[in-house]
Amino acid sequence: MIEIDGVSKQYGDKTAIRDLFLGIDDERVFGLIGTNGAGKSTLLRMMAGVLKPSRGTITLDGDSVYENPEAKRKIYFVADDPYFFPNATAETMARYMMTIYLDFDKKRFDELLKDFGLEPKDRISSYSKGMKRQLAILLGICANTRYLLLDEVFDGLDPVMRQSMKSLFAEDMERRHLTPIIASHNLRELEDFCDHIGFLHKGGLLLSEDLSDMKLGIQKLQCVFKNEQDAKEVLAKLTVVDHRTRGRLHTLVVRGEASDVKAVFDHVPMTFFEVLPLTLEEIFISEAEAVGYDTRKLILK
Amino acid sequence: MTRASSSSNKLRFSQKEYLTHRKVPLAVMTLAMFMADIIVPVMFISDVNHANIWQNVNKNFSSENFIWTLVVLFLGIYLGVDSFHYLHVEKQVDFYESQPLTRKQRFFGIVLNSVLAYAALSAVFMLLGILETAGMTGPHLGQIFADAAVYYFLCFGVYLASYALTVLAMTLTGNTLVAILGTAYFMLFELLVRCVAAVYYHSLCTTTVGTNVFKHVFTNPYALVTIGYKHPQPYMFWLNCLLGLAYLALAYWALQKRGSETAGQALSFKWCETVVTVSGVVLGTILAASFGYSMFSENLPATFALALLAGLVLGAILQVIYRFDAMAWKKRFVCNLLLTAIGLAVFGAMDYASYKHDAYVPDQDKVASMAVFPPARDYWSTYYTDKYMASGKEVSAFQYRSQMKLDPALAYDLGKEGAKKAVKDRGLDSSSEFDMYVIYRLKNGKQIRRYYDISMKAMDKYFQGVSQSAEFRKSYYQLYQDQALLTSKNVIRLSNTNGYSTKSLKSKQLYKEFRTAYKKDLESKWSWLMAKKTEEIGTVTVSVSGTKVGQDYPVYKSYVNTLRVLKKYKLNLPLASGQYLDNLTNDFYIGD
Repeated sequence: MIEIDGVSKQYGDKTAIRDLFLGIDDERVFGLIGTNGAGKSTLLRMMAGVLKPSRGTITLDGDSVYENPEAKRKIYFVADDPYFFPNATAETMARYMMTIYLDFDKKRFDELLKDFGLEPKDRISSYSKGMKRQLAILLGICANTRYLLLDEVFDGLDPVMRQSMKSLFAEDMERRHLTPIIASHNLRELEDFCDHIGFLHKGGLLLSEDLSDMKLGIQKLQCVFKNEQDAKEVLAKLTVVDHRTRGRLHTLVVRGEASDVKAVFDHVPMTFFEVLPLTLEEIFISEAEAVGYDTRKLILK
Repeated sequence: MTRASSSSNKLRFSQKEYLTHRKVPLAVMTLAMFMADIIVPVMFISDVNHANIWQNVNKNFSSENFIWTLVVLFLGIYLGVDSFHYLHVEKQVDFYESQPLTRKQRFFGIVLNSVLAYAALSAVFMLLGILETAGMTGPHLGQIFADAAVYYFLCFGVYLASYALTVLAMTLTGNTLVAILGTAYFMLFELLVRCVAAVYYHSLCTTTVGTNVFKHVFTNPYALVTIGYKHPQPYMFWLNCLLGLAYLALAYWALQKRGSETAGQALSFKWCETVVTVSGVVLGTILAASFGYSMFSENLPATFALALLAGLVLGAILQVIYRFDAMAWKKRFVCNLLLTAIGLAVFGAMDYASYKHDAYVPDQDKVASMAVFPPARDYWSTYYTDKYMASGKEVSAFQYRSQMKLDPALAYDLGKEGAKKAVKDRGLDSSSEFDMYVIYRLKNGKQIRRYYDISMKAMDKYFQGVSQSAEFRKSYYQLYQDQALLTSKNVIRLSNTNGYSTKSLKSKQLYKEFRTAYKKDLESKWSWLMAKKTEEIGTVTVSVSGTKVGQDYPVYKSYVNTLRVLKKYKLNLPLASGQYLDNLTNDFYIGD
């Protein structure tokens, strides 16, 4: 388990991460989402032992990660912009990784390269952005570490590749109990893949919840009231996260379980009422707006 | 596998991996050594003058090869940059720092790789180069090997120190260009300070004698082994190695402390900014003032204006570099102004100190003895001793023993007049009248040496008595201290020249007669007032075969005893015309 205990990170006068407490369970896909500049990459790099927290500790099974090779042996970090040696090929990168990660599975790596259509002896500098990302992920997978930290893993991958990568992660989770931790803006990709979501905003943790629980606790409704009085009464009883109107049509995002929310409308005559599925992206926008990250201001300008 | 064997295996693998991933710098180093040790000696072999071959080969593999020593310095800098460039690129920091290797392991792995690569390649190429020319260097091979072995260690020290200083700069900064600038700055720092000292002693002070501030340089690896070149000394190797190890220790500390997030920033530690700004702006201001002082002919207001501008501009440039922002030039303006003011104050203090230096004359009752002589004569190493050229030290000891010990009562006023004129002439562009060295030997054992421009009036008044004293003659002319010549088994040659032609004779008997005759003439005829306006008609040179010694004795028309001896031995010459007489050097003749 990865435990983040009161961690803060300062860059000069700027605070990138502020008093963060977070636990990441093993063998579950953890999705790290957040607004721009929230501190996702910073947190990921601290977890990988690249950055030292200004305060607090990050431990892996009880061991501090920073400058601890024993702990780092359990982690593989795929950065947003992965580095490869100049003039290197996939083959040379694999050989290097074999000297660093003693459990590196070269045979599997060669097979996966074939499956993904990457030539082992071609110069990486001739790869496209997507191919480089594929290679970085394959190196991480074949390192056979317990934790795989991925920053913007889906960036640059086509839909087929995205699905392939997800399959690989799922396979390794089942086979060798891999724990992927993924930071991404691509909420649509995370939604059908992550078990648990951590939402960062301005260096703090807005929420950390299982995705299923998160969806249970927030609802999206579209309704048309018969009169304004009814609308006021109903809205007063709901915990409204977001409320938009178009004519008489109200679109609401409210907190609460579906049954509780429906119960509020039970004795109110409605012209139209429907509960809609909420995507992770909509949850993200709603939660962000709730803390003042007003998308309407940005979009309408 | 035990933890210990696992660690050593990782070290071996790491060394192999480092070699694999450092092909370019290693190739550059190999190519440089190939050119210097293999190609260049081959060019020597083609020399038609065979006697030159072994000397040129020897020079190529010895400490006289200043060019290669400089190349070694740059190789050290290059490898230092290559070793830790990864710290300056965020992508590479993410890559390396997330791996299960500590900074300590990586540091020692890279450093060891860099040092071993140089040591091994250098030894191999040097050996191959010497063996390549062995057929042509023949009996001198032993000496070539011996000199090469010394040179190998000397270069290793240069490499280690320059490499280590660059590594330190790389770990203190987050940008490679800034690190290179920092390396250059700290490598040149001592030289720049010595430039300031040189300005003090040789521009601000007008009476300084023989102060070579560049005689020894310690922190520049190249200058340590080449400036004021002498035969290589063990301390040159040890000091470079010691400094190298110290820099590496500091670099290790810096690496442990630096944040990975500083990759891409100019400096990784805030305090570096303070150190560089304070030292750079203050030193830069002083140097600009020194330059301006010479350029504006010692005009102080112009000097200060230039220095003020230079200090502020330098401070602004540093701010731009720290922040990678052209608009940052305005930052810390007040701080830069203050530092510039400090620099100006230091220069002002130097100017005042130089005035005190020039004006200083010790109390007469503290002076045990004095010496006064023209600068041309500060070269007693041409005196002959039986231990001449045994070592430099022997000659120096003789030099100090033989310098004149005039009674202060005789020469003190001459020194005082010199100091007075020096103070009066400060800042003025006046032509010199007569240059004299003056040495005050104090009763407490200390010596004060000055170089004065003495006025003619003072010379006439105060030097006349000195010139006629027995003490002056005794130490000015080796005739009076020539026991070594008289007992020497070497051949003594006397040459007489009139500026146009020369006649010589090897004869100890001639020398004996000459010395007796010359002393008589000297004691009865010579004095300052006579010598300053009387042109010599010839010069007799006494030299000793097998040595470089040679003493010149001016001969005047009135030296009848000397001329008689020269005639007896058929060394006499007719009086040459004026233009040829100008070829004769005379320490005291100034004409009408």
